Amino acid sequence: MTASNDQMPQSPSLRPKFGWLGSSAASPQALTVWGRTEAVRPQPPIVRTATIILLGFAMLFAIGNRAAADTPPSTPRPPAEVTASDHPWDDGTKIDVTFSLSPDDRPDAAPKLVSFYSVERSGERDGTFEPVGVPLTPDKTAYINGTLTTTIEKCLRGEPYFFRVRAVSADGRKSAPAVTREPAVGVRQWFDGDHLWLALVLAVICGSIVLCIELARRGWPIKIRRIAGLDAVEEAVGRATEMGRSCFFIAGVQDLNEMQTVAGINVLSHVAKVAAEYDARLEMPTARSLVMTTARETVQASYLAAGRPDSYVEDNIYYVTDEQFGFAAYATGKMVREKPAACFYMGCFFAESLLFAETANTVGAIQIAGTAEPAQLPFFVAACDFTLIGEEFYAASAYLSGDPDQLGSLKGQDFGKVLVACLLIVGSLLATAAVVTNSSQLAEATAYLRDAILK
Amino acid sequence: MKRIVPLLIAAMAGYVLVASRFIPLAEKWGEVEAIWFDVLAAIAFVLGGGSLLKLHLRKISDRTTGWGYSAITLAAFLGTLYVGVAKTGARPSQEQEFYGQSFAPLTMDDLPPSLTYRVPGSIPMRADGEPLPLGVQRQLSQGSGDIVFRGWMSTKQEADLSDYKDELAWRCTVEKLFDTAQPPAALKGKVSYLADYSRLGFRGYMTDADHEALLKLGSNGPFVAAVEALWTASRLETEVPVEKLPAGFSIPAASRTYLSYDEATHKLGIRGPMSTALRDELARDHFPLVRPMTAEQRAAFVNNLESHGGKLSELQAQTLDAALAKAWSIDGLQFALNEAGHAVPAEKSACELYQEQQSRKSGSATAPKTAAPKPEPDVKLNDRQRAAIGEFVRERTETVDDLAARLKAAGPFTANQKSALQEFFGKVPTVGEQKLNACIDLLRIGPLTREQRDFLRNDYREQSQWRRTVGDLFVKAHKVKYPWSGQYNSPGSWFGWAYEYVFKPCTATIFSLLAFYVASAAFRAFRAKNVEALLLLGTAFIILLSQTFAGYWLTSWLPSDPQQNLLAWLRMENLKILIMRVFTTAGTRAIMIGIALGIASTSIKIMLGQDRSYVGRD
Repeated sequence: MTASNDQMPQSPSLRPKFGWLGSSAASPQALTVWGRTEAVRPQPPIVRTATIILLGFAMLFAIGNRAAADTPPSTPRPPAEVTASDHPWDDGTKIDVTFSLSPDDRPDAAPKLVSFYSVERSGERDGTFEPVGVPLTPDKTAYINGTLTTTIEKCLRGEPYFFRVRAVSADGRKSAPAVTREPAVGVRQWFDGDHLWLALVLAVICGSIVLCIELARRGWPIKIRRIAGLDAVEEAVGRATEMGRSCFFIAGVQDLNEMQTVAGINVLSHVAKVAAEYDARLEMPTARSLVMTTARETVQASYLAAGRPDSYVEDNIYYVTDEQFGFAAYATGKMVREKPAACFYMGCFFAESLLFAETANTVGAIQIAGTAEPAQLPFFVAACDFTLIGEEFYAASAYLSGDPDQLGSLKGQDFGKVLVACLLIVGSLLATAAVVTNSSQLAEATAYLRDAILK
Repeated sequence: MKRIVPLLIAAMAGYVLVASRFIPLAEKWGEVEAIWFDVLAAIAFVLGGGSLLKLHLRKISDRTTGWGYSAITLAAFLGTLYVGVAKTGARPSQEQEFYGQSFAPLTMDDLPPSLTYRVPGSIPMRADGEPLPLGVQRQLSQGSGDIVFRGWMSTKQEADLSDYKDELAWRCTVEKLFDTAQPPAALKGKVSYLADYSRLGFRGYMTDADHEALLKLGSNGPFVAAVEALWTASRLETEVPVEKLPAGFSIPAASRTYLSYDEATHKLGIRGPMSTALRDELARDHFPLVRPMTAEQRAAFVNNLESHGGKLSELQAQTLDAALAKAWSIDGLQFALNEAGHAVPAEKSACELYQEQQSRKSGSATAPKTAAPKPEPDVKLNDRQRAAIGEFVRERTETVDDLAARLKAAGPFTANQKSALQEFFGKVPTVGEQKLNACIDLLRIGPLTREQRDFLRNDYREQSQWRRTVGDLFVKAHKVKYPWSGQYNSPGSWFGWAYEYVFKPCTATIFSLLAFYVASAAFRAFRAKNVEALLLLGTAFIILLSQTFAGYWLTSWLPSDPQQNLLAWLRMENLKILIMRVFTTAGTRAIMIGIALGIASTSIKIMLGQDRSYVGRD
C-alpha cells in the first residue's frame, strides 16, 4: 500500500474516495481467498449481497489504482507561500526570496515529482516575469524547515520587484506560479556584510599594531631579532665607497600601486642616507616613470637629512623602460660595464630576478635582495648574499629607522600571527574531526571557517 | 608643505581604498581612484620620456663610453613613438568603418523638424539614479508632456531603452517611440542617423527616388547639403580590371542598377560603396558547391586524378574517398528545412501586454484580451519538394536560387525555410575548396605529380583570383571614414611589425638567458656545505629526477597506489607530489601569511603617517 500512497499526491481526488477501504479488505488476493471459501460453503443472501457490493468496490479500487498507475504524473503543486525581502547588509542589488516547498516535494519520494524550482522576476505585480538565478534544488535543511531561501542578484537598487516561484517536474512541467504579495525593494546599507569577518580580523590586527605603537611611545621595551640582510646595508655601501664603485638600487619592475614598490622606496630612503653619509654613488634605473619621480624626491630628502644636499645627483635616478626584459637587458648590461660594488633589489620581481642576481654575482658585487614574491625568493636566496624574505622585507624600513613607533608596529604584527595560528589550529582540528566523525555539522563549521571567515 | 601634501594624499588614498572595500556607497570611489592613478602615471610617463631623452642626449653630446648605444636607443625610441602615435600602416577599425554606407556630416541641431518624433509620456527616473543609456542620451529628451527623439531610432537603441526600466507602461512607450522614429517606408533600411558621430548615413546606391524621398524630409541648408553629399558619395563609380570571369558569370538581377561588367574593357564596376554581404555573395556565388557523390562518382574522380599522373597509394585512395564522401547529405538538408518550417509563435508586443495588464487592472470581465498573432501552420517538405532536392544533387547544374525557386513552385515554402536553405549552403564548401582540401590531405601522406596537384588546385586558383578581384573592388569603392580608428599595434601596422619581428625576438633572447643562469645558480646553491644545504640538494635531486623518465623507471617496481600501500609514496612521481603539495605548500603559505601581515602593517603605518621614509623622513 506504500506504493499507492506514493501515488496519492498525484491524484488527490482519489484519497478521500478510497482511503476508508483499508488495505487488507481491498486486496485482490483476499477477495480471491474469500471467493474460494464461498464456492465450498454457500452463504445466506445477505452475505452474498454484501459480497457483491464488496466485490464491486474492490474492482472499482483496482481499476482506480490501475488508472492512477497508468496516468502520467500530473503537474506539481505550487509552493504555498513566497516572500521577498531586501538582502541585509549589501549595496541594495540583492533581494532574498523565501518560499515554502511544494506539497509534492518530499525527499523520500521516488520518483520525485518536483525536480527543481524556478524563480521569476518582474518590476510589476502583473508585468512580464523573466527567469532569474539558477534552478534551485532543496537541500537537507530546506526539507527540514520546509522552506528554501535564495538570493537574487543584479536587481536595481530602489526599484520594486515582484517574484514568483514555480515547481518544475523532471519532464519540464511547471506548477502554477506562487507570487509575492508585496514588492521587495533593495536598499543600500552603509556596510557590506559579506566582508564583516574580514573587517573584524583587520580591526584586530590593525588595532594590535596601533596599540603596540602607542605602548612603544610610552617606553614599552621592544626586542627585535637581528636581520642580517639589513645589518649588511651599511657594510655594502661602505665597501662600494672603499672600492670607488657605485651602488645599484632596483625597486622592482612594478608601479607605485604595488605595495612592494612602496616598501622598496622606504628601504631606498635609508640606503640613500647611508650612501650620502659615505659619499658613495647611488644609481637607480627604474622601470616605471612614477617610481622614478618618487625615488628622486625620496633620495633628495635623504641626502638633505644626511647633511649632503650638494652630493645629490638627480640624473642618477632615471627611467629606462616599462618592458620587463628590456629593463633587465639595460640593468644587466650596466652591471657588466660599470661593475657596481653593491646591488640592492627591493621590490616586486619576476623572471628577471635571477638575471640581475647572477649578473651582479659575476661582477663580484655584494647583493641584498628583498621581495614578497614567493616564486622569486629561491632565486634570490641562491644567488644573493642576503635576502629579506616576505615579512622581513616589509619590516626593513622600521628596522632600519630604529624608531620605537615603527618598531612597535612590528610587535603588533605578532598578535596577527597568534590569531592566524589559533585559526590554523581550530581549522585543522575541525577538519580532522569532521572526517573522523563524519559529522555534517563539523563539516559545515569547517566550511564556514574556510568560506565565510577566511574568505 | 612639500612633505605634508604627499603624506595626506597617500593617507587619503589608503582610506578611500579601505572604504571602497567595506562601504557599498564608496564602492566606486576605489575605481575613480584607480583612474586618477592612471592619469598620474600618464603624466609621469612624460617625465620618464623626458628623463630618457635628456640622459641619452647628454651621453651622445659628451661622447661618453657607449654613446653609440644611446644613439640607437634614442633612434628606436623616437621611431617607435612616431609609428605608434601616427598609427602608421594600421588599418581602420572594422567596427568604425560602416562598410557599404556613405556618410555626410550633419549635426543634431541641423536635423530638420520632420526628424523630431514625439510620443506622449515622460521619461521615468530610476531609483538608483542611473542616467539613460549612453547610446540615446543625445537624442532623447523630455518636452511639454512628450518624450522627444531626434533622428531615427535603431533596434539596439530600442533594446537599451526598454531595459532601462522594468515596467510595461515604459516598454510600451519605447515601442511606440521606436515605431514612430523610423524613416519613411521608401527609405527604411537605407538611411540612418548616427548622433554620436554627427553623421547622416546612406546604405548602398542612392536612386533618384531615394534622393527625392530624402529631400522631402527637410529643406534647411545643412540637411540638403548633407543629402547632396550622400547623393554624390553613394553614386561614385569604381572599376577594377578582371583577369578572368568565372564560368557562367552574370550580374545578379537585384544588383544591375549599380553593378556592371564591361565586356569591351574587361572591367567590373560598381556605383557607390559595396557592402560586405554583396562582396561575399559576389565572390562565391558563381562557383559550384559541393554535392553528395555516389561511390561510383567518387571512384570516377579517383580514376580521373590518377589519369593526370601516377597511381595513388592505397592510403591516398582511401583518404581521397573519405574527403569526397565528407559532404552534406540530402537527409541533413531536408531535416534543416523541415525544422525551419515549424511555425514559431509570435511574441506579444509590449503594448499588447500593457493593454492586457490595464484590462486586468480595471476589473472588467469583458475587457478584450490581446491575443498573440496566430502562428502560421507548420510546413514540411512534400514529396515533390524532396524530389526536387534529389534532382538538385543529381543534375549538379542548378544554383541554390534555382533550387529555392523549384521548392517554392513544388509546394509551400516559407521565408524561414528559404533563409535556412541559404544558411545551409553558406556553410557548404565550393568544389574548388573541396579539391584543395583533398590535395592537402593527400600531400600529407604521400607525393602527387605536378599534373595531379594542378588538377586538384586549379579550380581553387580560379576562385581565389576572382575573390581577389571582388576584394579589390570592395576596397576601392570604400571611402575610409576614420583612418585613425584602428589599433596602433594591429597586424600589418609598422608598430605591430616591429613588435612582432624585432621586439619579441629580443625579449625572448634575454628571457632565454635564464636557462644558463638557473644552472649556474643551482650549482652554487646545491653545494652540500652543511645539513640544510644537504637537505636542499636531496630535495632538488628528487624533484629533478622525478621530472625525467629515469625517475619513473627507477622506482617503477614499487606499488603505485599510496592509498593501498605506504611504500607507494617512495615512487618518484608520488614523492614529487608529496614534496610539492605538502612541504612546499606549507612553507609558501607561511611566507604568504607573513607577507599579508607585513602589508597590513606597512599600510597602516603609511595611512597613519608613521612611516614617512618615502618622503624622506628619517
